[in-house]
Amino acid sequence: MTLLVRATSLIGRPVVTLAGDDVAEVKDVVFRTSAARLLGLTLNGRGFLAKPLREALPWSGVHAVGRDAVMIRGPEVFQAADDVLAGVSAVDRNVIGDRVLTDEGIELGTVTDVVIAVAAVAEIVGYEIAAADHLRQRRGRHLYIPLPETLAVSGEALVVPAAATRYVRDDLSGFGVAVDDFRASLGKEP
Amino acid sequence: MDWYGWVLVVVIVIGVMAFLAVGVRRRRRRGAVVAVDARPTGGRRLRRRA
Repeated sequence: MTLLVRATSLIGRPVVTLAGDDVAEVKDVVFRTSAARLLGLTLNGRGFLAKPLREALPWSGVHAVGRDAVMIRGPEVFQAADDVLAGVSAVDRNVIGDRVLTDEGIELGTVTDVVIAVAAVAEIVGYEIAAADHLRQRRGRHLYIPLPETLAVSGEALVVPAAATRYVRDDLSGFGVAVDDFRASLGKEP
Repeated sequence: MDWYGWVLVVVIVIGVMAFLAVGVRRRRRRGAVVAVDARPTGGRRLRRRA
């Protein structure tokens, strides 16, 4: 079963082992745009004064993502944070607040969240955006835009195919179907 | 030391602990949604907001 979750909803969620130990909490959600795949999660220690951990949780180490916790088999699944982050700085590459443009040059808005389809792999399937004025009047303030299975690496703005605007939704219910329809439509185009 | 001396010591200790706690909390920045292959532009915005 595929579950759609917002990336920011994972931030701060406790990381719990199957033995019941509450070992960390999620700090950053790390993904690769070009492959549209979640790579893993960086971690904070638990408790009021806890510091960021040097280990991170690769997606392969996640047993389940529940509403209240991220479950893992045990702390042995942690890897060095640099391995999960591919050596880059998390602060420099936050996509929240980035502009979204279509490949026809129309601004759709700014990213407020990233939508992840959680199954055996965790796939990046869409952006939640604060809509630009021309979309806001017709569709509402917050919209969900489906993404293709591969995306160009982001620069100053995130560029999506113009066809994605036909599959925009204003809530997450039904967004999975919109993503499937959008991707199927890309396959049919010459 | 008189009783008000001890009160002063307790107040100073609590003040120092609160100062350190606030410092540690500030060092724990808010989480981010990170694209490892994005060009490093978002960080400037994040730091400005912080």
